[in-house]
Amino acid sequence: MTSTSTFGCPHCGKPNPLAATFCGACGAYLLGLDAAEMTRKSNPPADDEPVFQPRNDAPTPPSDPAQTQPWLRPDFDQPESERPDSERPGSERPNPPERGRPSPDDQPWLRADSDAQPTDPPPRPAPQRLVGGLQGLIEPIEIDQSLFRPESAGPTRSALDDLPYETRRELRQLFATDVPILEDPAQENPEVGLSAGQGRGLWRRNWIYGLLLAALLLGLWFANATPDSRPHSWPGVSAAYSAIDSLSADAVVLVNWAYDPSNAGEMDLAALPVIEHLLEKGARLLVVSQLPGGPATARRLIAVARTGASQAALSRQLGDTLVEGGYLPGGVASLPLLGQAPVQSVPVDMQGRAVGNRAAIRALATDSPALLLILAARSEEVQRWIEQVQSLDDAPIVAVTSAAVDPAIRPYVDSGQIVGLVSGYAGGIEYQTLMADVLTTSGQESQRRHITGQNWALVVLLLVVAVGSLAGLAERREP
Amino acid sequence: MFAQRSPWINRIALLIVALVAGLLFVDRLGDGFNSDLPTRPIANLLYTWALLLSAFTLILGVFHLLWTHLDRIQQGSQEWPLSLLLVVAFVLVLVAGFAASGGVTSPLLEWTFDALIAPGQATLFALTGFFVVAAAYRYLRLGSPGGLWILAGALITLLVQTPLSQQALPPVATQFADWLLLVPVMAVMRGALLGGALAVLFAGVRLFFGPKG
Amino acid sequence: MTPLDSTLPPIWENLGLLIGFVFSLFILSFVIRDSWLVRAAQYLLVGVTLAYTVVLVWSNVLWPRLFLPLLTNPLALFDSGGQPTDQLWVGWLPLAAGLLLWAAGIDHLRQRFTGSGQPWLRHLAAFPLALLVGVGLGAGVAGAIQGTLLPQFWRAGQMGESLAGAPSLLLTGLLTLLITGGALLHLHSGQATGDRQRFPAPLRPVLSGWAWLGQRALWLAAGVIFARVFASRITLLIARLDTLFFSQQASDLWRWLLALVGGG
Repeated sequence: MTSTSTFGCPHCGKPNPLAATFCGACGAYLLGLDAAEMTRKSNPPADDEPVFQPRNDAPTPPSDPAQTQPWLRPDFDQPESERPDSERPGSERPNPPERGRPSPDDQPWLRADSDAQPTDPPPRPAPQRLVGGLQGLIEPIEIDQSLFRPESAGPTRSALDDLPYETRRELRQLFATDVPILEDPAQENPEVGLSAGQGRGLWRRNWIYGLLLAALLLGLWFANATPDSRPHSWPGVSAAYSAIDSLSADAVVLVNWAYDPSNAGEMDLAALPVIEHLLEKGARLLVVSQLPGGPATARRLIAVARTGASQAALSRQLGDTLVEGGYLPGGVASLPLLGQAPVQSVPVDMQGRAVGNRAAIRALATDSPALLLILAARSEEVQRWIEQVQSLDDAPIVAVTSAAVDPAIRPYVDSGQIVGLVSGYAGGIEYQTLMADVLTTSGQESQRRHITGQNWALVVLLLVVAVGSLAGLAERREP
Repeated sequence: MFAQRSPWINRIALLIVALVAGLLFVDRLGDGFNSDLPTRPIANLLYTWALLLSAFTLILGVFHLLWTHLDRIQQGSQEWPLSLLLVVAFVLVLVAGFAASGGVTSPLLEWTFDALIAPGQATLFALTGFFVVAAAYRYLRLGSPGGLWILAGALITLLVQTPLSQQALPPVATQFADWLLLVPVMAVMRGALLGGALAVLFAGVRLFFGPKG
Repeated sequence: MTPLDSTLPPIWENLGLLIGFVFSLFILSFVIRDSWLVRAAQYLLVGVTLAYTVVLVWSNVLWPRLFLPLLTNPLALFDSGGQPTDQLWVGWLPLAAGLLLWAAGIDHLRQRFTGSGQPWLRHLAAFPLALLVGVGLGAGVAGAIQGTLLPQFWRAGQMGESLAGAPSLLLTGLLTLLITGGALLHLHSGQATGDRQRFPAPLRPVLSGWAWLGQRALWLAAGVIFARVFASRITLLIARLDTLFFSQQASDLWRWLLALVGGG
């Protein structure tokens, strides 16, 4: 890798590959950095940059990889009109194309017209990312990139590529699980060169934020949803209920607590009735998490579920029914151990006590768990458990997920790898109904507030979409 | 990180990667034919090592970040007072965690979790609600590429999933939304899953046979 | 504030509630503008979370699984039959590898700031890193085959069920297969399906049409996913506002604040 394939992180200054999503040193979010800024911050490789040593007999690579790999160019996503003349197709280049190099004929995305987005604004700096895990901070990732970075992987064309640059960048942010919050207000609105608060007309986002906040606060204050008003129940909840209801007493359930406080507002609503049901059934739970905040979140919800579960369940000692396996680092690399040797993977609980003599662990020494329960706010967590744990122990899976995860894991429901799916607050309400669970007064009020809030938020969204469409039409008519 | 690594170190490292990955691959795929494979204890040992080494690297990553902020304080770069705040908070919680027995289950760390971590993370992620609506303003439009299809899929699902509008819709609309999720959307997501899994597979094969393979 | 039993004095409960409330308001003020309050709250949150993670990793992983067993019986490397014990395999060896990683990482940082380092340390640390990468790769590829590729391909090709069932089932099965293939084709080749050099003439319109269908289905799915993401994120926002301004009304803190405002 040569010097032009790296650029300095705006947060900490560490050189990073151009394709990096997060800074290898400080974890800052790098996608969509301003092209000019990337070029300005480009620096020669640090002498400690991980590199593949080229073989002595290998052909010398071109001095500028951007010639053979145009997607490495900082302005690859920019409109043609904004590129330097020397880089535009048709203009004279210092080095004419050679054999083997991609040309617009065999790579249509290199054509001038394929990427031309005259209305595209120039890219602006992405928000820095400080919260959302420790991805990107860990050295092996850097090493991993150095070991496996393909020498000349071509760009893959996806459906997203048809969208303008700005749209793609924001869609990536939208569907990302990290919070893009540390935005630079001065760069907020490149279209008019002003910040969000000082923008022109409807480009200001403050009116959207203010409208939504006001609507939700008013909605929660009045909470006017009728008591019998309930959200639509998406398919899969009753199958989840049946799978748990058919468990025998003392059945061992391996629980993957794959959410933390960041998503607890939604996930707790879906998970609470399921955990209550499991406690009432007398299932033995072995709870593990691969998120640092997961074990503590699990302890709190299970404590709440115990107060809500029936007295029959409470008559059992919690020590018999629950093993807090705690935190399991390593992701994909350590997860298979849970699938083929769970006793080995959880030798101690959260308090550091040996768990070898606990009933759940003794049972797992000889048999697979009766059920895998995945409580996940991200689809990757569900997929990881299906691939690394279920494929080894063949236990059925019930997934309790965020509403956002639901569409992504439907193929696994269809193939029977997931036997039941409870998604979002609507799934939780439906599960509660199936359990014939009677809510407390405060629980009913909270549920009514949630439903009212959803109703009001929809009204706001429809209004915003309508205004956005009108604004779009108006923009088109402008000369 | 590992600069000035000589080619033979690279080769040995790649050989280790290939051997370890190959062994685990054989262990996993051979399990279907023989559940008592001799590779199993070695595979379990490798997974255990990975778990422990990941813990080491995690702490190293935190240390790395902390060092960066210490450097920012020392250099007096932009927002250094905030870096100082970060470091002070880090040290206080670290001392509290190690001073009390029980680690994160000690009362002080539980309190820290409830008073700072949980509300902070929850509020930070709650902000995404605002971003989603702001994004809808710009992207749920008929004029954008595929706008009609995106808008149609979004509207039918939104109307069905919200209690207020669902009550006003005929049952057939609800059934249609269910069908949409269970058939076309599921099929698309299956295509995406298969594409992703094939990419992982090809990346692995590429490593085994070299970058040119 | 917490459903757990706590041995801390009750005043801590209210203090925690107050801190959490103010802290949340700082972050929420981002809606008005991105001020130093928001940034300060984020830096504080990161510092606290990182320290919490370190304590968790130490107390839940490294201490009980590695250091404690080694300190309890450090020299039990071989059993009576001369065979290596677990103490060696899952004790000393990973400890040495981990310490090597730490040393190399610190040396790397030192080099970054002072310009001098120990190359041999980083050479040695390449081996445990290669091991980690190898385990991740082996497990990742095998898992992708076992957990996703085979079952999903199998399910996608299961038209037998549909053929034996009602015509509507057959239609649904066919549509599913078409859309899956179309989406895969569009994600992989996109507009290249019409490329003269890559595909023979009779295939081109079929592939283009198939990819066209896949693209439309992808757009439709994007809309559905957006709606579900909206439901999810709005639920998070409602839950947070509900906790901050409504559910906590029953707490001592809110009673105290209300009494203060009302003069009672």
